Amino acid sequence: MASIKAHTFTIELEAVNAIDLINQGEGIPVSNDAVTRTYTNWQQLEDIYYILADEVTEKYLGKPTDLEIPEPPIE
Amino acid sequence: MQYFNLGGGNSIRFATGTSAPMPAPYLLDSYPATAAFSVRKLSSTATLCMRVRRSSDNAEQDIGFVGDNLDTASLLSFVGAANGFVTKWYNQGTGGITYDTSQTTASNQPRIVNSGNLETDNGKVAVNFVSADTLSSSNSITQTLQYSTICVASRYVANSIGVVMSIGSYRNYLDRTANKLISRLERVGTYWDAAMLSQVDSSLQRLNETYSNNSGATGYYNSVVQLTDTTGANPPYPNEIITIGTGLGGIHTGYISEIIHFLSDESANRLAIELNINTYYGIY
Repeated sequence: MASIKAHTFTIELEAVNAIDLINQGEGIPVSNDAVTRTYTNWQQLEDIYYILADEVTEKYLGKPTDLEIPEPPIE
Repeated sequence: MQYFNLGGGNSIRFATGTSAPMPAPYLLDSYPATAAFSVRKLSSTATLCMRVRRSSDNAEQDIGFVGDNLDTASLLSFVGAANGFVTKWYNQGTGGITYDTSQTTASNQPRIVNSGNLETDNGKVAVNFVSADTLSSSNSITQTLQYSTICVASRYVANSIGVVMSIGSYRNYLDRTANKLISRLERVGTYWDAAMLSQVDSSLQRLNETYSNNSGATGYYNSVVQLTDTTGANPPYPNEIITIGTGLGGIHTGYISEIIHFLSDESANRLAIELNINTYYGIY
């Protein structure tokens, strides 16, 4: 298992709304022809939806929590 | 005379019986590849290198070339003291915009400028895949029994595998498991497995190559042959998108400077291609 900093949610809509909040705050997308369409995406771990935390997400979502996720297998 | 551009302002001349100098061709002018992504100019027709987003206001701008190189003056002027991220790495190959690679999610875009400073590897500007960063083509590329893939990259995370470039199950990756840097260029399963057996306990920039024809695949590390595998069964070759920075087996965390993918066996041209690349990057 690996420990990551993440913002966690119990329902998908909360995660979607959180991303909308970040995008609105950051002005993303900046224009119709911009490649960048969103700042981040949510991921799911069993019944938890989470957004990886960084300095930008923390501006809008506050302090993240520690989340244990499975490490990818090494071949 | 015919001029062959070696990059870095260097060229060599070949007598061809003509007296008028010809424009210096770039690597892809001599050896056309379907898909090619680089921090330098590889084709005389290439005008754009990459599209960059700056973190200060998320604005984006296309960055081209000055001479053989990325236009770093324009890049740094645009990004300023902020961070710069690659939103699109333009394809300089014959496939054109069909195989441009891009990333629409900001937090997964690789970095080219860090707090106003160019990202560099081995002394030259390079794209830094910091954390689960990837670029992908929107369109699938044809896979055939004959192909060649050449990658200039380095990897700085020990005990893990990083896929530099993948097309479906085909992949070029750097492996630092057991704190040893191992390169493998392979098709998985019963497919040809041109494994790089060299083990180098370092994260130095490297040149990885694989050349495949109708009878097998051969892998090279810094111009040294590693293994030729002719035992695999002919696999199906579904068309798949090009992905840079991840693939089956792991996320690449490190630098990538150049990826060239031919839909042909270019082993007969290997030495000339290596000379061009190594003259520019000074890898080995």
